[in-house]
Order: sequence, then structure tokens, then C-alpha cells
Amino acid sequence: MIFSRLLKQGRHFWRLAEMRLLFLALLVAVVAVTSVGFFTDRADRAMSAQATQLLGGDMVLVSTRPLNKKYLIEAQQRGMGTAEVVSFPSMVSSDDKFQLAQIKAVSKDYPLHGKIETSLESQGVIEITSVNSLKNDEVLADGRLFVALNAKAGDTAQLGSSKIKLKKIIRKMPDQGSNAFQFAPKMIIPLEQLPATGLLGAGSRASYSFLFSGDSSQVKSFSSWLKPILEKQERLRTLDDGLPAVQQALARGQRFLKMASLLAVILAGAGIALSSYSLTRREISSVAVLKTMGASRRQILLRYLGALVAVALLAATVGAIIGYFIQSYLAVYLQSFVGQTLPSVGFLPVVIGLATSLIMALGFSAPHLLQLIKTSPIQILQRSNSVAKSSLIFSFFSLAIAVFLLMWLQTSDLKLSAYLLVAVAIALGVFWIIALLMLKLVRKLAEKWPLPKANKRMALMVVVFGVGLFSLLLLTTLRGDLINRWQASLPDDAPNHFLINIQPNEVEPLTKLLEKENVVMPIYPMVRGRLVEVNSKPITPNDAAFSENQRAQRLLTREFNLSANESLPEGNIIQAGQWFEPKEKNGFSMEQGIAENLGVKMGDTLTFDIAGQRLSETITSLRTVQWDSMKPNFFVMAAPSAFDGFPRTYITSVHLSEVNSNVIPTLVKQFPSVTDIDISAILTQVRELINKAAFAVQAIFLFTLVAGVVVLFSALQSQKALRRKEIAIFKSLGASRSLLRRNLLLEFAMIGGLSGFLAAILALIAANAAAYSLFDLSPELDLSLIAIGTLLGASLVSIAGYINVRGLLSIAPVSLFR
Amino acid sequence: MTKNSNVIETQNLNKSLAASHDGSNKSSSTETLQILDQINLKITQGESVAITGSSGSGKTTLLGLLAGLDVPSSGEVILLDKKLSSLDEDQRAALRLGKVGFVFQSFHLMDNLTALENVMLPLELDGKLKLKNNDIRQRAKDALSQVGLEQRTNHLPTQLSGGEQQRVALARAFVSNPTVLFADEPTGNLDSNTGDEIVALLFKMQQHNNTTLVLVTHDDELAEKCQTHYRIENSKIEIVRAADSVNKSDSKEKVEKEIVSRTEVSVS
Repeated sequence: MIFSRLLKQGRHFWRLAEMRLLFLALLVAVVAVTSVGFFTDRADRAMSAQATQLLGGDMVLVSTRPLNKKYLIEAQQRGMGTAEVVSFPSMVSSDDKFQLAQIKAVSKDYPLHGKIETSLESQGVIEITSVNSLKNDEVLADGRLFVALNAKAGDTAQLGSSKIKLKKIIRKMPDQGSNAFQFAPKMIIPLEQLPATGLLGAGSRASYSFLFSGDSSQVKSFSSWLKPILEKQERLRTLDDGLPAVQQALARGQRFLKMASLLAVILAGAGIALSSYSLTRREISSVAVLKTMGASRRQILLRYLGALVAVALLAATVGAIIGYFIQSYLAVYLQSFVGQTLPSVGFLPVVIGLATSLIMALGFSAPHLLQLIKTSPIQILQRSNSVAKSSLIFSFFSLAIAVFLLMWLQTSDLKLSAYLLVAVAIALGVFWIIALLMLKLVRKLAEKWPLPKANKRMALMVVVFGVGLFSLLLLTTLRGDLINRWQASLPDDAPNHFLINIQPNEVEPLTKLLEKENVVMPIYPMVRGRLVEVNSKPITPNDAAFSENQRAQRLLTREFNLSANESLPEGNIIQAGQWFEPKEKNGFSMEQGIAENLGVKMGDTLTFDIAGQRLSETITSLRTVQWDSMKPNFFVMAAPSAFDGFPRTYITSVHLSEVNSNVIPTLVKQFPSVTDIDISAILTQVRELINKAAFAVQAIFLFTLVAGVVVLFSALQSQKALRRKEIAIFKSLGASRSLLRRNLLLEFAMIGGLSGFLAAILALIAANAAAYSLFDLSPELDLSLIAIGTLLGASLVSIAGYINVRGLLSIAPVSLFR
Repeated sequence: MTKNSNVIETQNLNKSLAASHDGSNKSSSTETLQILDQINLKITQGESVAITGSSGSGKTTLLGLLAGLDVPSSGEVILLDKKLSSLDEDQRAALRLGKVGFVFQSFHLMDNLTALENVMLPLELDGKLKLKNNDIRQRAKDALSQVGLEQRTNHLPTQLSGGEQQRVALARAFVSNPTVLFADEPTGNLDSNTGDEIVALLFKMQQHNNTTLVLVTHDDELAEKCQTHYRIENSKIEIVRAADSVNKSDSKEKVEKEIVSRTEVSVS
């Protein structure tokens, strides 16, 4: 009954051009939300999947003692995937050559995510090897081990009491992100070979881990089962922890995607508000007639509410279907980049699309609807078409609530929603005020020059186009920044080797050696110290304050790597206080996140125990660190010469290309104590991740761009009726087509230029605010954006506007009298 | 209701507006403009009443007050035995529902509804009737055939001529068989031939349904066709001709003859 009434009312209103426009704007919003929703949902999961490959599973349990098998059994009963890893250092020998290797004894299902890529020669064809395929004595090993043992694939070697066969060279494997700083080359042996080596007796130094995989609900419920029964030495690692580099890249990408779809929705919102405004103007006389017939306010409300709901439902349905197809098209592309099967489409985006459509239709039209209901029936006799005054407060709340609900729906991220809500409110207010002021100016100027007469309608257009252009410019800037800086954070010459354990007396000759190879990198002293006191009070992992804070406990258990430098390391940003003066001896600079974790702040005094000596300094600055830079990063840095009297080694990271292939061998020969860590493989993995994220960002950006243009057209369309009348009047007064054309173009260019100008200024401010607080990127002022925005606005609106009204130029003035 | 009972009655009806002037004379900015002054009239069941006056004389304002579309500054309107001053907007609307019809100068059909759907509207709005959709449709079709538009039921207003649109408006006004019909310059937007046809149709239907007709016009010739003729001048109402002064049977006969000839013309 209700449905058939909706259908009927929907059909009646469909005959109104304004309603069809409203539908179009809603459709754009729903398509944006659902396609972006479908797509980010899948891309998100694909990206997480990629990230879990770095971890080797969705969740890893690590311990220094053998783990209780009941954990594995429980996980298997829950239908999760499991694997076991025992990792320990051991000497491997072949003939007279010896090399310390990191042995990973793994069960046959290892790894749960990702693959082990191998080859027979160091640069040979890559193939996938499963642990299962390894026979009794066969093992896989890093290329460095082959080099050190002077062996080739198929050679034998000795591991403990076992004779092993070095079957293939490991080119890439999961689980590398987490142990990049294990210095020794890795070797993978099947777990069942482990007892035969006789290497693991009681008290051996080994790390035992269980890997688990499952869907997110399984992982969640399993980890809540697991957490309370963990032993003290057992530690859970998930994606949320321990992989700062990947995590930061991922979080930024996701925030951007959400922001992009949200802005698409706001764009469409502008279109909806505009078309519902013109629908109201049009329907006023109908409402007045209905009232003369005896329609009550309730009947009128239901009539228009019904029409809106019908249109919203239609838009949601059609939008979801289109959205699905768009995302599957995008997904095909993504897949070829990801090179793996994407997770299937979720149903949630459909629900979100439906909710979006209803919220937008009702929230953005409610103030207008209220005006309609208030229409006085006497108007119909007075031949006036005035809109009843609407309550500003009601309009404001209706819009604010709608916008907030939309943001919440889109992001489920309160910080981001609040940010955008405030930004939108400020943007609208500023737009409106400045637009009115500038149009006043134009009116003044029009007394001297033949400029279009400025009016309220133009102010409205400036606001609508301004908001649209603002969204687009904001996205353009952020997208560029994000991708540039992602890629800049890992440029082609990003360091791929860490050199550690450099003795103080080796710093100079080593620097010279590297300089000769044109490789220059900052070199940092490194001192290991345990944090023992804060403000002269002892601090331990067992403090009540850290009972729930695993990360703090871990930090306090192990030693910090302390460093010092004259200048602020690249990629670090000071958040509070000041970096050290040259030659300064006092103070600590602390990474912000770690300070928050430990509950310390500016001005607190920290005491470190460094090999029996104590060093107490006050925190004089807090900074953020670019974890994904692959450069040495330190939680705590001291004043430049603070460690002069302490035993210390030095660390540096360098980029070595093929050209420098002889550097490492020379270096190892000349400085036997220096350890080289090759992180090229991790770099490749992170780079792939970034490329995928960048592609997703580009794709969604392009869609928002298209949505913006569609809304631009629908905004213009909504003004068409008024323009038709105006043009007819001008023509009846004898205006020529060329004069009208010139005036229209001038008006559109003025509207567009003005909105582009305002949009660019605001986008510049917003982009920097967002870069700073949401994406942890350092702000950058690019003033050329203002020129670009103004030109873009003027040309875009002129072209679109002209195309839109071109047909009206040939309208016969006689149409006025019909 | 007996034939002579009052359908509409006004008691000392006043309407004034706060007239705002431009800055030139600020002291007069609160001056009131008297539009209607002490209007007293009684309109009986089945009576046809014309209200004439020059532009801006307040005749349309009076129509709005009589129909309860607007509220007076003072005085009372009694419409269908209800004092309008005791009713709020929705109650006044409910009073009009099904009992009051309107015909406007510029037709005011809903652009997005077909002729038939436009005519169905008053019946759809009236929930008390509890009519089935098919019954509503049938009654609307009947009303359209009464105005000679049975062939154009599914046309949108934009596809109809001005005369046809006003016929649809007539069908819409009469479909609920109202007690009172208010007409505001019903021929104002039509050429004289078409206007005459519409007028003939209007009176035919009014008499057929014994509807009280209140017609506002500046056209004295049209006013002549009504039983009673009031004129508004200088905010006051004066009676030009009272119902009893006309030989009703004569005039009725004359009108009916005219309708027959007009209808023949329009059909041909």
C-alpha cells in the first residue's frame, strides 16, 4: 500500500525536471559512495593482505621458550590456519668456510600469507617454493650465505650434526619486515629436520613463534581468548604493531580514500541542495493550490516526503548497481597490479549507499520542504511566488546533522569527520561572506564598466561552485602531496644497506671510502641504554601505569638505541620545543608517540643506564619521525656532543647500486667489525605496497573529479528556468545573440573565477591542515594553486555554463507570453 | 441546508496592511493601508455573486478572506456555518476539503500531473470519502467528460491549450461537488471566444450542481451574468444589483440556451 503510493508519487514527480536533477545528484552521491565503498573495501583488504605477508600471518605469537601446543590446537579447532617457526642463530660450514646464519625451522604450512620466492642462481629465474616440497636434508638460504660459503645451489653444508643440501636461493620471503635487523643471512629448514641437527638443547637461545591466519572476526575472538592466558614471555604481534613503516603508509592511504569519497558526497550534496531549492521554487504554487483545495500541512508534508523517499530509493538502487560495475572495472585494474585474487565484494557498501541517499535527500531538502509546507494559500491569488521564510537555525542543524551523519557513515572516523564538518562549515561561511563582498564590489565596478549585474543568485552559484572546486582542489593537492611524498620517502636511491657496529676510529676512514664511491650519508653515534628513572623516580615495566600497555612494557624491558646529531635528521618534524644548538651538551629530543606511551612530557628528566654509567637529561623537544623512510630513526636523541664520554658505535644507511657492487666486499675486508644489513628485499615489498596504494588513490580521485563535473552541470541546470525567462526578456528588449552570449560568458567566467579563487585559498589552508594533522606530512605552501584555481574555475564554469545555456540563446522572446 | 440559508456571511470585515515607505519619510513607515473597510455581506446557497472593482481595489483580497486563505485584521467570516476566526490554518483547510472549489486566472494545474490526475487530486486529498482508486478515477473521468475533455485525459497541461487547461481546472473544481466555488478572473488569460465558452460551462455546472459561486472579475459583462453584483470602491463594498432584482427564470433560460450553442460550437 505504502509502496504503491510511493511508486505513484515518485512517478508523478519524475515528470519534473528538478526532481530528475535531484535524482541525478543523489545518483552521483550513491555511485561515489558505493563504488568507492566497494572498491576501498576490497583494496583495503588487498592492502592488508599484502601487509600480512610481511608479517607472515594475521597474527604472530612469539616467545623465548617453546610454546604450548594447545594454542595451535585451539586455533585449528576454530578453523584458522596455523604455522610454527623456531628461529635461532647457528654456524653453518662448508669445507673450510664458516658463516653465522639465522636458522628458521618452519612447519610445512609456512608461510600463511605470501610465498617464498627462490631461484637457482643469484639473479636467476624466480620460482615459488613451498616448504612441503623440501626433501629430508634440503634447505633454502639467502644469497649472502651462498656467497659466504662460496657455494651454489645443490651444494652440501654442515648444520649442527646434520648434513644439509642448499637447494635454492631465497630471493624474497614474508616475515622480512619484522626481522630486518637480524644481521645474519637466513636459512629455512623444515621443522622436522630440526631435532636431527641436535642444535636445540635446553636453554638454547631461540625464538619460538606460532603464526595464525583467519578472517578478522576469527582473529579478534582468538586473540581475546589468547591474551588472558599468555605467559609472561609470550608476546602477540598483529598488524597493528611492530610494523611502523608499512602501517604508516597504509593508514595514510586509507585516510585519503575515505576523504576522497567523502568529498564526492559533499560535492553531490551541493547539487542536491541546489536542485531541491529550485524544486521548492517551482512547487510553491502547487502547494498553494493544494491548500486551497483543503490539503492539510501533514498531507503536503507526506506528499513531498513520499516523493523524496521514492527518488532516494530509486537512486540508491540504480546507484548501487552502477557502483558495483564501476568497482569491478576498477578491480580488474587493481588486480593486474596486485597480482593476486582480490577479496570478494562486501554487502555493506549497499547499505551505506542507501543510508547516504536517504540522509542526503531528506537532510539537504528538509529546510526547503519546511518552507513549502509553510506556503500560504493566499499566494495563489496574489500571483506571488515568494518562498516562506525558513528558520536559519533549523536549516543549519538539518544540514549539519546530515553532513555529520554522512561523514560518520563514510569514515567511521570521528577525528576526520569532525575535521571535515568544521572545515565545511567554515568554508561555507567564508564563501558566502566573501562572495557577497566581492559581488558588491562587482556591482560598484559595473557602474563604470559593462560587467554583468551581480545578484544574490550569483552569490549562491559562487558558493556552490566554490565548494565543488574546493573539494577538487583539496583532493588534487593532497593526492599529489601524498603520492609524491610516499614516493619521495622511498626514492630510487633510498638507502638499501644499513652499516652498523662502526667503531669510533673507523668513522673517518669509512666515510672516506664511501665518499670515494660518491655515497654520502649522515652517520649517527649509537649508544644502548636502559631507561631507569623519570624525574628521579624509578620506572620499571611492572609499574601499575603500564599494566595494560604492552608496548611500554616492552620498551622498558629492552635497551633504547640512543643517538645524537647536530642537525635534525631528515624526515623528522619538531612538534614541541626546539632542536639542539650546535655544541650543546644537554637535553633529549623524544619521539612524540613514545613519549605519549611512556607518559612523559616536555621538561621531564629521563635517566638512562648506559653500560653502568648514568645519563640524566631533560626533554627539550618532541618530534615525529618518518618511520617509512628506511633511514636510521631514533626514539630518543641527545644533544650533539652528549655521548662524547660514553662507549659507542656508529650507524649509517647507504644506497648502493649495481655500480657500487664492490663496496660491500671492500668494506667487509677493511672493517671486519662493521655489519652490513641488506634491506633491498623489504624495500621492494614496501615499494610495491606504495604503488598499489597510489593507484587506488588515483582511481578514486579521478572518479571524484567526474562526480564534481556532473554536479557542476546539475547546478547549472537548476538555474536554467530562470535564465530562460531572463534571456527572453533581454531578447524582447532587443538584445542580440552575440551580446547575450558575451554577457553569459562574462557572467560564468566571473562566477567561476571568483569561486576558483576562493576555493584555491581555502584548499591551500585545508590541505596543509590535513597534511599536518591527518597524514603526518610536513606543510608546504604552493601559491601557484591560487592562479590555477582561478583559471580552472573560470574556464570550467564558462565552458560548462555555455554548453548548458547555448540552446536558450535561440529562444523566441514570444515564449514569455505563453 | 435550505436554499436561503447563508453559505457565506461576513461581519464588519476589515483588512489592512502595514505599509512601509522608503526612507524619505520615516515617520510614516508604520502607517497602515486600509484595503477592506467594514465589509458586510451574505451569500446564500446556490447564489451566483460577482465582485468587481478596479485593479488593486481589494476584490481578490476579499475572495481570499471569504475562502479562509487569509485572515482578516478584524471582523468575522462565517463559511459553511463555521466562524473562521476560531479555526487554525489546518482546520480552515479541512473546512474547504471537498466543499470549496477554486478556479484561477492562470489555471494552476500541476505541471507534472496529467489532466486526469489533476482532476483526481481533490478526491485523493479527502480521506473521509474513503474512495477506492478506481472510483476516484471514474469520477474524475466523468468530470472531464462533462467539460468535453474525455479524449485528453492522459495529456499533461503543457500539451493542452489555455482553454483546455481551464476546462480541466473546472472539472477539478467541480469533481468533489463543492458547496461553494470561488473563481478569480477565470477568463483573464483567455481570448474572448474561449473565455465565453468557459463562462458558459462554468454557469452550466454551477446551476447543475446548485453550487454557490463567488466570482471576482473586472469584467462588468461577466458580472452581469451573476445574480448578485457587488463592487468594491475605496475599500468599501456596494451592491450594484441584488439577486431578487433579476428575473431568475429568464436569465437561467438564456444562459442554458447559450451553453447549448457554445457547446455545439466547441464540439464541432
